[in-house]
Amino acid sequence: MTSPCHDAGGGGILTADATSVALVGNPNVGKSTLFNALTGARQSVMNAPGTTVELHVGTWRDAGLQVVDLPGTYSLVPRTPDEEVVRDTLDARPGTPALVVVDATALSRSLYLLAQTGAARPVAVAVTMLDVARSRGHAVDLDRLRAILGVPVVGVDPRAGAGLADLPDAVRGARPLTGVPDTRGLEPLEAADRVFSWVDDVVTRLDPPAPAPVSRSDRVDRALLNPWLGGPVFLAAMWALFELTTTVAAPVMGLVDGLVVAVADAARAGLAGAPSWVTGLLVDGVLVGVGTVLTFLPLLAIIYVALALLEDSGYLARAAVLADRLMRVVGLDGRAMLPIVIGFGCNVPAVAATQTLPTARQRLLTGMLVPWTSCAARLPVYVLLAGAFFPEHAGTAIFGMYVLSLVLVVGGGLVLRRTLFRDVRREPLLIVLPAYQRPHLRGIARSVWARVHSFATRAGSIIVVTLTLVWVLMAVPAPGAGADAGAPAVEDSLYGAVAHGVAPAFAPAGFDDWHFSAALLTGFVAKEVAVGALAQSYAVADDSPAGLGEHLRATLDASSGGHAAAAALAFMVFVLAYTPCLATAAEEWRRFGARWTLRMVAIQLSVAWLVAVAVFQVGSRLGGAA
Amino acid sequence: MHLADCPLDTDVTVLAVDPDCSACLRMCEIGLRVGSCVRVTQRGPAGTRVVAVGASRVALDAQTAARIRVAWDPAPVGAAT
Ligand SMILES: Nc1nc2c(ncn2[C@@H]2O[C@H](COP(=O)(O)OP(=O)(O)OP(=O)(O)O)[C@@H](O)[C@H]2O)c(=O)[nH]1
Repeated sequence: MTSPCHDAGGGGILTADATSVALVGNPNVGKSTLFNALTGARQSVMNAPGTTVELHVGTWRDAGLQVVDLPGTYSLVPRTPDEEVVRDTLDARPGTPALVVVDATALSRSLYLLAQTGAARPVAVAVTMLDVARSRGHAVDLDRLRAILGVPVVGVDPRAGAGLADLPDAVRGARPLTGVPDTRGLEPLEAADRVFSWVDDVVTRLDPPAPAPVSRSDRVDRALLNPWLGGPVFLAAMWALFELTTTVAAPVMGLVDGLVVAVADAARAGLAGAPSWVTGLLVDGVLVGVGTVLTFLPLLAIIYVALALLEDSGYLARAAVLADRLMRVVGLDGRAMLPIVIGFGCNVPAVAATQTLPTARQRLLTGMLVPWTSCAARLPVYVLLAGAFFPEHAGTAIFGMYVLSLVLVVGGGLVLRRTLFRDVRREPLLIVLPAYQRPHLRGIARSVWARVHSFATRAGSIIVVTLTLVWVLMAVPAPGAGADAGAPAVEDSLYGAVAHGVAPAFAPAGFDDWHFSAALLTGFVAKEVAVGALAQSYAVADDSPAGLGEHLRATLDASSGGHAAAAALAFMVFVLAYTPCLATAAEEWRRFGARWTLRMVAIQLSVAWLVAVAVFQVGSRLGGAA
Repeated sequence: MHLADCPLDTDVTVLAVDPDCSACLRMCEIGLRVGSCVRVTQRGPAGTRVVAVGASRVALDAQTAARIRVAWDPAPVGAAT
């Protein structure tokens, strides 16, 4: 079972030498697939001490060992914090054996890392991608490799489980490599040269047949990376991803939502005799919270399947190449395009999609930008306000919100790169392209299940607890509001009191009124209910926008000193820029930990406030001058 | 000649990699090092190049491809991966 273990302190990731093994390998060699196949569901995730780099730790029952899946790296001379974690984790336990995963289609590259890893510690080798090598006419003779290296070598296909039974013995027989040159004290380039002469020697003795000059993948790339065709195909893929997040997911989410409502109604009927606070707490608090989590599950599953298909098929690496130039402007990897596109549908799976980025810092940086992508749930708020305040130019006002959303993402990226993320270097594009292949459905099902399960338990618990607290705030009358029987009106509840309390903070933005601050509080929980909350606070039905519009105009006229349109625009901007919803925050908490999530919420609130104030101050002056 | 100017599907040998480049060591670790036999298999958008290094494929941007000096390969040396 996946369990949370964030910010695990100390250096105890690898336990006693004889009871654990580290999985080491280049990116995309099949390490995680192997880790999942060895440990099944007996895994947990922890952060390497002092970093946001995730390490997966699991129990390998057949070998009686604890396995740590280290981030993929080309070298133990690190270029990123993720790679530093690999080096540091190995350095902290020099006697712990490493199972080095070697890619049969890229022997030199894999052997280089093997040489660095096995120079002083016991190693065993698992060779993956033998099928791909074979199909390219580049078969590897494992017996000969074993004889040359003098350490255990096992051929595996972790997707199908082939060869795994031989791995426990291999790890037990792990020993250091002999003949690897001593590179201590050498300059990195000189050291690399020495190691590569050893690698070349091994490869020469192995004498593999020359690979076929043009592979099937090359022929596919002729089309998909073609300067003219590549862009449109990439855009079509991004469009499909966006459609999945919105058009395809919506009916499924609606179905789950309908089910939750039916269960809630049944529960209410079943609890008819119970005191109203019990029904409220259980149904409107806990059950609604669980329902919120459940409605996100199909959406997340759809996006996880789509991402896994993109990754497994090999297209994700091509997408990184195609989007590189554009994303480089913000200093991001081309793969950051995916979460940002998904974010315009829904921010929750977009934060989840940051997993496709190669390093922890890139994932975090992209995770901070995603909330500024204007998700579909924000649209009803824009529609309501634009319709009420700019009936002639509603379309332009709404379009402006999307432009501003892009400005926030790009501007936010540029500012963050110069402040909190100065260490994220602008790396030249240098990506190994995996061969195109048919996705392996069993593997996808396994990883999608693990990820959805992890969201449901880890982000889910945060959502349920917070929604229950919100219910309590709404159910408890504010001091001095009089304790009538039943739930108090929103304004008289503790929730209303909080809304009243924070309203003055919005005076410089022209909407210091409790109706609006209450809608923002509700919008913090979920944007899709913000319009309903506004309607509820005026006690009008939210399907009568005309009536609601009049109330809104009257309120903002009063709060803004006659600049209602500027205040409405400022409110729309605030809705765009502040924390998108509780589920997004919970997902960020799950991925990046509490400290970063709180920091993100603080940044989002500050930016939203500053931009809203700027819009109102400029807008009201322009309006006044007109 | 630089990798950026190489014709498609022609074997070339890497003569030098611009040592000022920050990713020089990484290029070498990925397989783009002096003496290796490589082949440009695709020209992508914005001057991107896909290069065959043994059986694997590496994508480089235009600037990086312009940092790698290569020469025609007299005889195909396919064995180096
Ligand atoms: N054809 C083939 N594909 C494989 C094999 N092993 C793994 N794969 C696929 O290779 C891709 C990459 O596998 P991962 O397990 O994600 O690779 P990884 O080494 O964990 O990658 P990083 O997370 O970047 O370190 C997946 O699509 C796997 O299904 C294999 O032996 N043969």
